[in-house]
Amino acid sequence: MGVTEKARRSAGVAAGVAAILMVAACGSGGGGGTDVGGDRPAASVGPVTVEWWGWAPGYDKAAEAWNASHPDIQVKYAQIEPGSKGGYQKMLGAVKAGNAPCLAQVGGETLASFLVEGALEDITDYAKESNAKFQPWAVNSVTFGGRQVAVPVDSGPMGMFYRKDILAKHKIDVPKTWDEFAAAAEKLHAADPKAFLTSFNPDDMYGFSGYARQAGASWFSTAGDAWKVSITDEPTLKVANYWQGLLDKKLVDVKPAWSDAWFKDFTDGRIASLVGAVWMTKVLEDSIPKTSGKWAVAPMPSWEAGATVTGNVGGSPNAVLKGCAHPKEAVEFATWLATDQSAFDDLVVNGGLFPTSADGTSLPSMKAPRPFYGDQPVFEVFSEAAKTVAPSFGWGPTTPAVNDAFNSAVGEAVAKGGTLADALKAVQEKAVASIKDKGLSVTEG
Amino acid sequence: MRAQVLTTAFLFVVAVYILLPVWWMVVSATKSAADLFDTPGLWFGGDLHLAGNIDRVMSQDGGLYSRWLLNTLIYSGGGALGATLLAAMAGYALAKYPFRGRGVVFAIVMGAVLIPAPLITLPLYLLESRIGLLNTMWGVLLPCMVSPFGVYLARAYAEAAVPDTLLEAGRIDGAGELRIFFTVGIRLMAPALVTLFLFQFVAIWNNFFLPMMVLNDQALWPVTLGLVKWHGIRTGFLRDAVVTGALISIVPVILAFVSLQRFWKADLAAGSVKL
Repeated sequence: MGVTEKARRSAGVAAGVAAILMVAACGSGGGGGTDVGGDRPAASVGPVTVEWWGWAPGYDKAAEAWNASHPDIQVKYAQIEPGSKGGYQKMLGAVKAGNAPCLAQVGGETLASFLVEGALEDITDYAKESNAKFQPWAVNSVTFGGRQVAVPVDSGPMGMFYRKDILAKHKIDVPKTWDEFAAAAEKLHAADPKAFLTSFNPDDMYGFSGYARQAGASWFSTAGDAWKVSITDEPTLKVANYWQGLLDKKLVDVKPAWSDAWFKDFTDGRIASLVGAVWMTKVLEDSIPKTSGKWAVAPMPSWEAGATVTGNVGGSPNAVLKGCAHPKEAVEFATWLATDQSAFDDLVVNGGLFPTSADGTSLPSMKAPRPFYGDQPVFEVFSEAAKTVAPSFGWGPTTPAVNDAFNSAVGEAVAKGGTLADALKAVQEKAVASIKDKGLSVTEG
Repeated sequence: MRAQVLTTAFLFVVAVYILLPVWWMVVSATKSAADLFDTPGLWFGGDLHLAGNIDRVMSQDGGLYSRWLLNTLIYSGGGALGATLLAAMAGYALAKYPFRGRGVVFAIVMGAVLIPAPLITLPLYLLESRIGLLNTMWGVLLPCMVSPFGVYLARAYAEAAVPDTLLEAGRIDGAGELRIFFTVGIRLMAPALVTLFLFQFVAIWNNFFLPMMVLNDQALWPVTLGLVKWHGIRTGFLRDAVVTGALISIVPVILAFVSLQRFWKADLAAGSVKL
């Protein structure tokens, strides 16, 4: 396939980074075609138009708000299909055709894929001044080999959603550590054999990666010009063995993520808690309204008592795509979107997004009580959690292939009585192979 | 006799297998958002909520759904009509006019049958980008009007169903080739053309990748893109709207099949006798 050939020619990460460095040096769009003329204007004359593609709810209103107050830089927003549903293919196609939008929503798990496709502009120089406005780990997640390729906008720090009434009924304290969590799982299941403290989704790699991240894992990183894949690193295996223990004792409800059966078990009170990302707040409210008022949110259980480290699942940076004629303006807008108090407050209200900005925790919308959680202002819990997100986790250039491998290997292990540790070994092998198939160099570790 | 019972039983099982998801969709479309995960999937919930759901589908995003449905009708109807006409003309010409290179042309068309549509979508995208068709209705319609399989079908049918003597008679009466094609050829080919139209209609109806690549403006989207967008939104619960929207979107396809079915039957029978 063309994609593979192309990647083979541009040897690896180093080449990808080198490519963006070169573009930064010679200062022209490159990649064929830009939307306004050939050369990048040093200082903009007249209003500049920045085209923007994304799908997150609330983006459309944010663009309107920006345009009303910034006559010199007009943002033209187009809502496209979500990335995994074809949006990313559309973006890469547009980059090839030379008519890509300046700015695009690209999930953190997909940035590296775009980088090795040569679809991203280096924005280090435009972004560095405002990076202090962000949580440091968020900037870290959009930086490859010292070069920043995107502006982090929203994030998904994790917490523990739990049923107050069920835990109270069985006199179970809210677990603060994973050890207490396991003990609580045992106690609850013994008291009510139909109920489980939590569920395990064998087809949810992203959720699992959040647990691994909390434990200190980093599945993908770059060393020199090679990718390093560490899906079987020590922290990940610790997490795998922990869940293996719960699975072996049949203390967790095994259900596919997002399935009707999963939501039904939540409604029926068969699942008493969920350790998940902040965006589950709204999903639970909307999916299982009959249990309204019975839920609450606590910090994610920690591995060591008193030491709070939090996992993160999801979040979408916005990247400047190759060929953009106005990267400076695009970065300016994206930074405003992520850090302006009133802009992000609207994103919280309209889209349920969670900020990556350092002072995002002081947004008025963070303090809103939510009836579904017994009027608890749950975003305050996540605001605290956001400050302790483990900084190091990285994704590789072949996330869809890794996701497929995870679903089949872990799914089979759970269904047929294999171990999660063995399944992860298989995922590791597939991940390494998928990167090699792209013609990139890779090491294991 | 025994074999007949077995056959019927087998067909019954297959029918249940195929219709079960449709049944689930019908049932789910009648449920409120709260009932969707709170009641058994294959039976109705407490109260019928279909009207409320339809109302939700029609009002969501400022009533874009009806626009999407109209667009899908335009793409499917227009695309299928165009594809049928072009395939009929090409197939008829290949079957009835001996000309130099006829074999080569047909071989190329047959070769095109073997190439899956998604494979040429990206090249099409690049092409459309150059000639300025991106984000226009024509960008979706034009590629949908080409059906290599349709040309093959039309040629095979024209060979069997349009007698040369009839065309000769037309020529002797002084009719031009175009007139002969539209008054004689196309009528004799009608059963095959109905089949072709239905195939193409459904194929375009279900098409996702091409419009996804080509269209940015939501007002130009077909239903498939809109439903996937709604389904992809995790915050702001739209599952009830997605299910109900999907149900509404298959109604026109069912209508097209039912109303054109008798032609189709005729076609299948004709084929079995002629061959």
